[in-house]
Amino acid sequence: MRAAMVIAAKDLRQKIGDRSALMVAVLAPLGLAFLFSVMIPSEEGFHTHYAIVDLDGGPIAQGLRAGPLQGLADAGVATITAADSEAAARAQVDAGDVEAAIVIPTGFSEAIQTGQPAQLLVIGGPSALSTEIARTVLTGFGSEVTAVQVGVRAALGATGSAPEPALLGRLAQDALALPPPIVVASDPTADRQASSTTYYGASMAVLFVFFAAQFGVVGLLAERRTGTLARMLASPVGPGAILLGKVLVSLILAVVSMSVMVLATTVLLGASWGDPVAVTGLVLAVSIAATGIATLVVGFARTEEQAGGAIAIVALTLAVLGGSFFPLSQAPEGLASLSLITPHSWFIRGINDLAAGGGIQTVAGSILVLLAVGLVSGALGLARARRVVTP
Amino acid sequence: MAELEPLLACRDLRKRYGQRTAVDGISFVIAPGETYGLLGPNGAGKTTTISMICGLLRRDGGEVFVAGRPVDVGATEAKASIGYVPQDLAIYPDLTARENLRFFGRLQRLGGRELDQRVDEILAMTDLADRAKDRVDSFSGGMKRRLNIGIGLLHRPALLVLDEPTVGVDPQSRNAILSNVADLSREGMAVLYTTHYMEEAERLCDRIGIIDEGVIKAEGTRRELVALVGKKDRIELVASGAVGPATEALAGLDLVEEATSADGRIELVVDQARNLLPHILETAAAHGAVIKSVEVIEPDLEAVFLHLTGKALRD
Repeated sequence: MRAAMVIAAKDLRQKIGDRSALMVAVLAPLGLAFLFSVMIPSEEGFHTHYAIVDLDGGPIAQGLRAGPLQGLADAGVATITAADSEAAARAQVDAGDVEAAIVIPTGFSEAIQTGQPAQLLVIGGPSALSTEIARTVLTGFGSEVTAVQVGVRAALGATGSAPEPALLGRLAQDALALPPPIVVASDPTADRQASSTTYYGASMAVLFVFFAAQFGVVGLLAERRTGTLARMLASPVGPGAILLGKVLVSLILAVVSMSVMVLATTVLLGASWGDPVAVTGLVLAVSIAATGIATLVVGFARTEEQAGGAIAIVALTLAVLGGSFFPLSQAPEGLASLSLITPHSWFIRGINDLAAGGGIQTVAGSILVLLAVGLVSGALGLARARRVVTP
Repeated sequence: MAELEPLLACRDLRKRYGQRTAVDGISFVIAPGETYGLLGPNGAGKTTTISMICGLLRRDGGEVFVAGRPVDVGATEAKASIGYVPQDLAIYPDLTARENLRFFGRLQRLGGRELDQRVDEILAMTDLADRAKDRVDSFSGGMKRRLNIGIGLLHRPALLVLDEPTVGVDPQSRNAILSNVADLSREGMAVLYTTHYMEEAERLCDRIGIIDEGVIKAEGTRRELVALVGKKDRIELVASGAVGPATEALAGLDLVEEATSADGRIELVVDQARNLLPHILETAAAHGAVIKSVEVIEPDLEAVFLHLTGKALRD
């Protein structure tokens, strides 16, 4: 163990003097996390602006404005301002003053009250998301009106009397004013998504931890090339101590890289990682996983260039599959399932759990999976890497 | 010397790389204070042999003992007796000379005051004390080579293994290295020295093993090896005066096997030319010959290698 510590201390001294390690382990992930968090809008912070043109002024139109549309405003999702005409609203959309406009045409309420087809108009702008939200809200409102109409018709039909249009309209209006029979509650642990800053901070940290972790174990191949590995092996040091020293360096650099990312994104970018104990557990576990995988790759490589290239390919592939570049909630279902093989996915899942208020128990599963990945790949890697030390 | 309890004993070492046999049954011993040379061309199996002796390479057969302890890849106790100096520079260019020495010293289980003392001694011995705090990548080739050798001496090993330490070294540094090795041997250190330079083997080594194609073809002192060839020393004298009578007188001397003369030139075939030379010059002068020049021609290891392998020692 003493020899392993001596080797690790020597390697760390060299890495401190090597600025590329600092660049790869800290500066690059921090910079990318900042860029991603700035360039990609946060779902949590989404806000849009709608113009509404009420040419009808009837009770159903008022119901729409006071109901779903006001709901968007109350939720902080949208700011809604009135426009005088469709032309004025269209001009606002074209000028970029609003993201989309909703036009309630003349006769809208009467048409619904008399059972005639009615139409709403959405004028979309450059923001497809804003337009889609408006369309979804209006479609939902339309479905609700249709359901009320069907219900009222069914009730009146049961009495055998023909429905009077005025009565039908009043009943529909009253029904719409009632509170919804089913309220969907939101469980924070079922709606897990860290803020974009935290998410991309975690994503970049777990991506680059693989590059940080390679510095120790890849050094084994470099030392074999330069002959210093033979010199170490000629001293009273077993192959196991040399391997352990290199793995220690990888693990230490991985933990340092992750820790600096957590601290830097918290202080500089305002990320919120959650419970410190749980974050520490996840950081240690993903560092072990990255070290294990890097060791495995080195075990199959002949040169440090080959190992570096292979680790880059593995790290980037796992990052894409694991959701480092975009949230898995936006990924196809197949990719989301495939992501479960990656440490990235389990780490980000853990961070999302913590963002929703979870603690160490919540992320215990993620930690165990990461540890298992690290230990299994590390054991296989060490068995292979032993051939590098003693051909 | 080999009759002493050997410090290094290797028996029937074997190593194959696929279909190629790199080392095929090599055995030799080295006594304390003895310098043993493995002389052979590149690719003869020298480095593979010492890699197995130092526990760097798993062997396919045979055994190695250093100071009575078996050597293998994981044999840390036996390795503590070995100082290994590889052919290529095995040092960290981004560390200082002192940092390099301290690192390898710690691996040799040195620590505290003893480590500091030995590092200072090695820096002084290698003439690097004033550059101890400089990064090695700022050193000249000769300085790096001296540091490379110094690291192998840090822990005062009983057996120093040098793998072609003078390859690519300038003549001045080469001479210094050979002098250092000779000094260490005089101090009682056993030395295993591999080289493909005949002159180095002749100058340094008490005994020499001639290796080719993974096999030691012959082993012994220089004289014993030369005797294998069956060639005698020759002395050529350019003389004036009574060349004929002088030649006849020389032919009658013990150890002179043959004496001929022609055109003022006397040629002698002798045993141990250097020892006999003063007596020859006295005899020639006593019989009226005036000696103008002398040339002693001794069979060398190049001739031995050619005789044993049918090819030249050089690359």
